[in-house]
Amino acid sequence: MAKLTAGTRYKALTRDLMWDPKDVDFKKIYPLVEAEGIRIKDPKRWEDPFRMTFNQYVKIQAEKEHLHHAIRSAFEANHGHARIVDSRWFEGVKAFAVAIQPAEYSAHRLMAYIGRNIPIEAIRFATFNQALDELRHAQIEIKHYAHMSKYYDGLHAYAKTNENLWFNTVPKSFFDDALTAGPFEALIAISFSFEYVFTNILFLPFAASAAAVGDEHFASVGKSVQSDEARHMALGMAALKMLLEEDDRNIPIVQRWLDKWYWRCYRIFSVIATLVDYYPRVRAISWKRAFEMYVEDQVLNGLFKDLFKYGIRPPRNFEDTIKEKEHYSHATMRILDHYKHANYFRGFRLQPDDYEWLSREYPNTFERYYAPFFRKMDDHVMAVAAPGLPAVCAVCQIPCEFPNPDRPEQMWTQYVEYNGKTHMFCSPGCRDIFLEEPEKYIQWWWPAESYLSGEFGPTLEDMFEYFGFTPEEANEHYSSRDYHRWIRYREELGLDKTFQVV
Amino acid sequence: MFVWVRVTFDDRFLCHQGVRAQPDMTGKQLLDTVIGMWGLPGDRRYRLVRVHPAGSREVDLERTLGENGVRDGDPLDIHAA
Repeated sequence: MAKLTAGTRYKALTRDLMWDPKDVDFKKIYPLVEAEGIRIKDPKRWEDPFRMTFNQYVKIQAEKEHLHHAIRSAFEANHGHARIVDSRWFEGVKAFAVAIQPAEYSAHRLMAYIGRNIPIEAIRFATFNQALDELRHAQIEIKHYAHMSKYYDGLHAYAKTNENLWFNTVPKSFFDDALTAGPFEALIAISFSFEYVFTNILFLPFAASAAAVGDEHFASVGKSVQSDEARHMALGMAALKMLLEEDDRNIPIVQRWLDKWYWRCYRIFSVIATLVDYYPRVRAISWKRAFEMYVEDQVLNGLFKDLFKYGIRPPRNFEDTIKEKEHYSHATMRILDHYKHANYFRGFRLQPDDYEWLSREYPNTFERYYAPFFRKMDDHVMAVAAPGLPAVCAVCQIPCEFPNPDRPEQMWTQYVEYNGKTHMFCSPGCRDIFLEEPEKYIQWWWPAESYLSGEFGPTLEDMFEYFGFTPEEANEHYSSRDYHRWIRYREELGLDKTFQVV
Repeated sequence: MFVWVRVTFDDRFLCHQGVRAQPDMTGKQLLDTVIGMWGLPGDRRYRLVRVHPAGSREVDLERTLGENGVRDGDPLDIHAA
């Protein structure tokens, strides 16, 4: 018998592994397959772009895990946290902890949901692998936070904070939106819009910044995760092409999903813009330049030109994202500083080198529109604190504090009357998403309403108890106990010494 | 019931902030509540405006919020008169 080629061997291990249902209706097993109007004529001709069998998957992932945990062990054993250039970096890592880790776990569930409901073997194998990847990401990230919580505030009741804090309504609303979409929409939402369009900008600049500031552990998290993302991006691209080529009637449906999820993904990445431009004292690249490289050049000016032949145009509101690149990180950092007294990761007073870098990278916007806000903190770190609980966007759940990029002195807030209520949105992009599916978004729950009604107790202490941290763990970094502990830890290790060479 | 209030001339307000309210309180009572809560100058006169996608409408300070058509969750702006 002739030896199997790699292709036939892969096919033998991954195709025709189960029967077509005979005794029950196919639609009973796959109740969602026709719910979204997607038509698939010949699903067998599509291949998992990576064509990996399980043993290959395990071998590759095991190598990554061994390498990553060796770096993690060395970082932990050698006081790596004390060796970074500035402890304010860990406030950004805390933001990443509660914003991204639950997103990883939600993506794990989403991939299982997609694989369960789409009866295409190529999709099923790829989503199975990705579901495992996402769980791996969640767990290696949690390891970092567990180590950090020995030395730093904000993460000791991690699960409670993840569940109850206002900030987390942002990733929750995004992933719950995807989990309540049909399986094909979820595939476009996560595999294409999130993974293909945006994950490079998530893990590459942030991992580069982690390495630049000396957080070798988190740099390793970023690189290890991104090596999986390359495979996820390939699935996103393959899924998009499959839907477009299978039937022309799929094209307007896919366009509608691209319009929605491009903006949804873009908005959830607003915090990432601050992790690129603000939290690292040594930056690898600015948000603006990363956005130009990874999104404008590669996706909007590259990929979407190729998709034109299918009748696909760039996502609605994409021009707004280009206009916002000069403002995005500053407006988002302003929001975080505005509400830092009720958050588990702190804002911070900008330092002279920060002003210099931000002014140089953003010569048209930073000094004129944003620096005055941050300079108010020079005399009093709470000078910029918001006086209450904000109105948030009914779609993305972020406070309605994004300026109109055409008139930056004005907010971009949009108002829509629906079902006897005025709904507020941070931008035209979120407003347009609401108008497509208002019944979905009027269900939103914003904990401010519960705080205001005293649902979690009558005092401020009750509210923080509900959040899972104390007021001392919030506010401003350089005046915090975290910063002073870090300084003392460095002194104990002798890391505060400077040496002259004569 | 609660409403979202923004003080348009105070740079602490980048967006509307939540305030507990009752439909039978007057516009002036709501105004006095937020003047006290947010430490706005007491010697100035203010206007209360209901923000609506169909157009903003002045709130009559002597009438109740309900009579002014202000509903649960409505955004309101405070302007210096």
